[in-house]
Amino acid sequence: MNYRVRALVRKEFAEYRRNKLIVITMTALPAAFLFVAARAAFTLSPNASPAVLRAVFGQARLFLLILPLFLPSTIAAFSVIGEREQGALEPVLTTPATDAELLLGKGLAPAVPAVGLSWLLYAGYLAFAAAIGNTVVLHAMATGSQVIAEIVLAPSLTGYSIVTGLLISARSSDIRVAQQLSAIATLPPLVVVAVTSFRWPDRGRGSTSPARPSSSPSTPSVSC
Amino acid sequence: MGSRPVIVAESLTKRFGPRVAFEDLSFEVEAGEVFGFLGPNGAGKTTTVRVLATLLAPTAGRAEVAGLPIGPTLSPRQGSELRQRISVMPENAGLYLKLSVRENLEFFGRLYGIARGDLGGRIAECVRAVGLEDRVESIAGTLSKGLRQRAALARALLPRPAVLFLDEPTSGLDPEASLMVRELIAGLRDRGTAIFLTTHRLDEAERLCDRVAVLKTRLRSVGPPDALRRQVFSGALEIRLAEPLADPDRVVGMVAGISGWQPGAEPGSYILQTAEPAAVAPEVVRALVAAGAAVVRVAEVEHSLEDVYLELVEEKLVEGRT
Repeated sequence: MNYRVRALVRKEFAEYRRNKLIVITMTALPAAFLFVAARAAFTLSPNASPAVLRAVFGQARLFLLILPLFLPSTIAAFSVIGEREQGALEPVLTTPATDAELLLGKGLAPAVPAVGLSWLLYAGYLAFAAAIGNTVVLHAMATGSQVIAEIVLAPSLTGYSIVTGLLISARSSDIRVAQQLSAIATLPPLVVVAVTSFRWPDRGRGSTSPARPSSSPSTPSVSC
Repeated sequence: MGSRPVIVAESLTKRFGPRVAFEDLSFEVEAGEVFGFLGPNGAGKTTTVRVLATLLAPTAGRAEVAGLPIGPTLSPRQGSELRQRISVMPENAGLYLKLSVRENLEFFGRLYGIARGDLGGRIAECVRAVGLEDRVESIAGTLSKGLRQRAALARALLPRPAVLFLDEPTSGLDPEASLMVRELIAGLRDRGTAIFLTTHRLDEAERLCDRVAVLKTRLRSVGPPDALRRQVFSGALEIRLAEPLADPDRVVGMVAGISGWQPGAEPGSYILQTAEPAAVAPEVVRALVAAGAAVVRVAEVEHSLEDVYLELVEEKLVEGRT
């Protein structure tokens, strides 16, 4: 990353920190994940049925993938149009920064917190489960397919979200309209993510303590 | 001036579909020159700046800015190199309103590649130059229009450009701040910076600019304000007498060097056309005194740049109507 892209990313971060909508979006979504998904998973009965497990962990997977999809769309929609509304686009365009550097900076800035938060929440979720010895959570969520989903799918969804957000932002004249259109643009991948999250086969059940072998024979696979 | 040109435009034209923004512009701006770009709204001034700053590609013609050619053949690397040598202060300050003045300047300083070690000192120097030292930590959105304008000027000074484009730099500034900006511009000229100044304030252009160009889609005229005055208006003497002359033709019409006369705005005042006002003034006074007139005032008629501008733009309007 060259110095101009770094400068752009730093400037975007400084703007995010002072934009209430972005701060709320960046804190409310992870908080919702922590509250809903974590509470459901960690209070799960050791004898919960496969259907309940699927619902609870489907919700957790969905939250983990909604985050990198929805968060950047909100930020990216603000990105170009916010700059244009402040009249700051023209001064930036007259600097030595090239179009590619500007686009890269604008794209990277929302990607880093979105993917970073998703990974952090996933890692924290597993670390907490491991710390309290909740093998139900570990069996359902610490799977190779889930790790791959986090490593590959989360950044891909972020990429989609940023590209559509920037395109919409570049064509819109109002931030609210841009954000609403960007939210609509996230619906198709959101539907796919939702369906795959809840249809994801559970590897098996564990117990809060101590661990016991899985009684469900299903094999994990990435179905999205 | 004899310096090397840092902006060269030859038959430069920009069209947006069928609409002509400007056409056939040819001029040069030298290093250390303040070049005023005047014209009514919609004349193409801002579009010219955008083309010269590589934001828009010209439709036809050629131009060179800071030694590099602009146009569709300009590669991204060349464009970046060119913009490294110039700086643009648009009419709208264009600050990031949620960031402080310092954060705004730091961001732009980094985009220009100013070394981290130099950036703090450079920012201090620029905010001092525009008198904004005590507001450097203020959030830009909390500043008045005039202070934002000063912050934008500080941002434009940051890269120490070879060519500085200023679009209405004193718009929204109080008289004291306007004076400071004019002094700043004069200081930059002395340091060899070429300044391309678009303004509606003709008094400011007259005071600051070495040369001015009057644009209304096409260039109406280019030159030093004095030369434009001579080009547009012939010389004239204004005389004011205590009483009107009974027969002005017999008195002033007979003086050698006077090509014609017309009554002035007040009774007893006359405007005499002459190519050499200073040379014929003594003869006019002698003739008036000989005719028994009580001379109150004799002065060379001075035309402001505003008169020149209006004359040039009017001409264009008349041309447009016919």
